[in-house]
Amino acid sequence: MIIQGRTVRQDLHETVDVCVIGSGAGGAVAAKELAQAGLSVVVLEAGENHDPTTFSRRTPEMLLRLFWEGGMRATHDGSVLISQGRGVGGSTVHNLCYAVRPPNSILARWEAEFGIQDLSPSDLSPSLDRVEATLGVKQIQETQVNRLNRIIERGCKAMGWRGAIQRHNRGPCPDCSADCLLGCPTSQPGIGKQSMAVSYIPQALKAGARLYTDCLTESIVAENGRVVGVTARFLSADVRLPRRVDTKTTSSDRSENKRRCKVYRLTVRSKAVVLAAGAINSPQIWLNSRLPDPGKQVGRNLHLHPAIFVGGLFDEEVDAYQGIPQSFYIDHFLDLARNPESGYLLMPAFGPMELVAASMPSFGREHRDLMRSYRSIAALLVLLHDRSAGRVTVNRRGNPAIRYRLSRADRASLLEGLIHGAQLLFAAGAKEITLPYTRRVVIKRESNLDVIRQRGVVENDILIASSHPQGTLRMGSDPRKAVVDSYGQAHAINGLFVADASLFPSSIGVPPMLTIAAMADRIARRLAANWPP
Amino acid sequence: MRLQFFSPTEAEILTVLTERMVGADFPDVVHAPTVTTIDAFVAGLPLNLRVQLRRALHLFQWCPILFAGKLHPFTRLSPHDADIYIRSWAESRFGLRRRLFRGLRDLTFLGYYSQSAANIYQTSADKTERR
Repeated sequence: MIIQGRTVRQDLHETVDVCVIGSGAGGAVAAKELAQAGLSVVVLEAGENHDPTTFSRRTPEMLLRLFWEGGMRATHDGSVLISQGRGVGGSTVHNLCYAVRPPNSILARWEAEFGIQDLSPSDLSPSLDRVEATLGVKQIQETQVNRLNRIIERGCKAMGWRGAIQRHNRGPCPDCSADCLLGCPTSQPGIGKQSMAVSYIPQALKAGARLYTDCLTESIVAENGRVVGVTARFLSADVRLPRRVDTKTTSSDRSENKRRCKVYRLTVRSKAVVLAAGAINSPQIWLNSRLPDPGKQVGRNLHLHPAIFVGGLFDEEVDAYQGIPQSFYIDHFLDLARNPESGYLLMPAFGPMELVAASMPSFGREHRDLMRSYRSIAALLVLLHDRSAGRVTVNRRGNPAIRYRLSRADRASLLEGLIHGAQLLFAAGAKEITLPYTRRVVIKRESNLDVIRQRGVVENDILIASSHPQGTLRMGSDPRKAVVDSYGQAHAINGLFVADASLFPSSIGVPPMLTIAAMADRIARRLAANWPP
Repeated sequence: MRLQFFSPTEAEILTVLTERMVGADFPDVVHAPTVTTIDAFVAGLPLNLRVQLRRALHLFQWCPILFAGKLHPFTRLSPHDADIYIRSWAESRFGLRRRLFRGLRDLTFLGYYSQSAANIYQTSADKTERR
C-alpha cells in the first residue's frame, strides 16, 4: 500500500516491527526482504512515487523531480556537483544500469583492514545472486552497443588496454537514449530500466509493506540506548511560506497563515529502524537526531568517486545521444589487487544538450561552436577510486553541509586519467579534445596533452561531478573507527541498522548499486533471522 | 512574462546573461521562454539555493564597478565589455567567482537548450521528431 504524503491532511501514527528510511538500492531491498520474512514494515520516502510514463524528457522538470536539490547539490565550495536520486527507487531511477559485482580485493581489504566478518566473495555471493535475479541483470548484447560505446571500444583496443562490455539491470529498451539518466519512460517489470521502483518495491508492497511518499524523516528516536521509532513530516502540496506579518495584519490573516503553514507529521513506533537514505542524508538524519556517536565517526570518511568529462570531436556523426548510453568500460587503470587505494575507470558518457552544454568549456561564440558539433561528440568519464576523505555535517537549519577536498595524490590520478582519456579518443579518431574547464583549452594533437598537466585539476576551474557518494557511516569491528558493525547494526544503539552506501569502509572503485543492494539483502536477512534485534 | 520567483529586474539580468552566455547569433535565441524556464526551475529549488542564486545574480549585476572598472551595471555594458566582464569571472583566481560564473552559465544553458527551438537536433525536448 502506498500513502502519498502530499494528500495527507492529518497527523498519522504507525506501530510496526521495522521502519525503513529510504527506498533506493538499499532501502527497497531491505523492505522487501523484511516484509517477506513476515515482519510488519513501513518505508518512508522523501520524494514522490514516480509514474515512469510521465517522465517528460524535459531536463529542468526531471532534475527537480528526480534529484535532491534539483541536481544542484554540491560540496561546500561548489567544486563537486553531487547527483543523488530522490523518490521511490532513489538513484536507481536515473542511474545508467551498470550492474558490477564488488571487486574481490576490495572485499578482502574490508575484511582484513576493518575486521568485517563474513564478507568474503563467497559469503556475499548468495546475496549478489538473489539481487541479480530480482533485477534481471544480463550481459549487454553486441547488437545493443551504440556508436559512442563502439568508438570508446575502438580506442581502447587501439591503445591495448583492458575493457569489456558490462552487465546491466535492464530489459529490452524500445527507445533508449541518453535521456536514460533522466528516468526511463518505458520502465516496467521486465522492460526498460529495472530500477528498484519496478522490481523490489512492488514485491515489498505485495508482501505487506506500507510505503509513505513525500514524507521527510526528521529524526530517529532512541530511548535508553535503543531505537523506538521515527518522526517524519509530510511534504504537503499546499504548505506555503507564511505571508508577511506587519502592523496591518488582521486576525483572519493570522489564522490563514496558520492554516497555510500547518505541517502534518507521521510518528512511527518500531523495534528496529533501517537507515538507507544515502551517504549524504543518512548521516544528516543521524546528526539531526542527536544519536550517540562515541567514535566521532558519523559523517566522516566521505568518498565521492569524483568524475571528469573528456570530450572528443569527430569528423563522423556519432549521435551518442541514441541507444544505451553506457555499456562498455575500461578498467585497465583500476588494478585493486596491486594497488588497492587508487586507480580509475574510463567509461562512455553523454547526455541531453543541456547537460552536454554544461560539460563544455567557455561561453558565447566559443561554446556555441562546440555545441554545433553536438552530433559529432564522443565522450568519456574518468571516474576516480578516491582516497580523499570528506565529511558531512549539518548546518544550523539541519541541512547537510558537505566538505570534500581532493588530495594531491587524487589530483595526480585524475590528471593521468584525463590524459589517458584524451589519448584513447585520439586513438579512436578524434580531431580535437575538449575538457570542461572554464576557459577553452585547444588540444588537437597528442603532443598538446601537456596543456592538461599545466592546467591541472583546480576547484571550480574544471567541472567535477559525483554520482556515488559513500562511506559516511562506515562499517567495522572497532567502535572507535566505525559507526556500524559487520551486519550494519549501530555500535552505539540497539535496533538501528544502516543499509546503504554509507556503510562502505573505503571507496569501492566501481559502480556501487549491486554492492549496496547485496549488503542490504545480507543485513535484512540477518535481522529477520535474529528477530527481535 | 509571468514569473514565479524572479523580479522583472532579475529577469532582465537573466535575459542579457543568456544572450552573452549562449552567443547572440545562435539559432533562435528565444529570451522569454528561456527566462521563464529558468524561473520555473529555480522556483522549484530549496529555499537556501534560491536565496543564493538571487544574491549571485545581484552580485553579478553590480560588480562591473569592482572588477571591470565600469560605472554601469552588467545589463548596461556593451556586448564587448559584457564578454570581457564575464571572462574576468570565468578566469578569476578566486574560486568563488569561478563558481558563480559556472553556476549562472549552466543555468542559462539549462533554460536555453531545453527549448525545443534551441534544441537543434530535436533530442530531449521532442523525441518523436528526432532525426
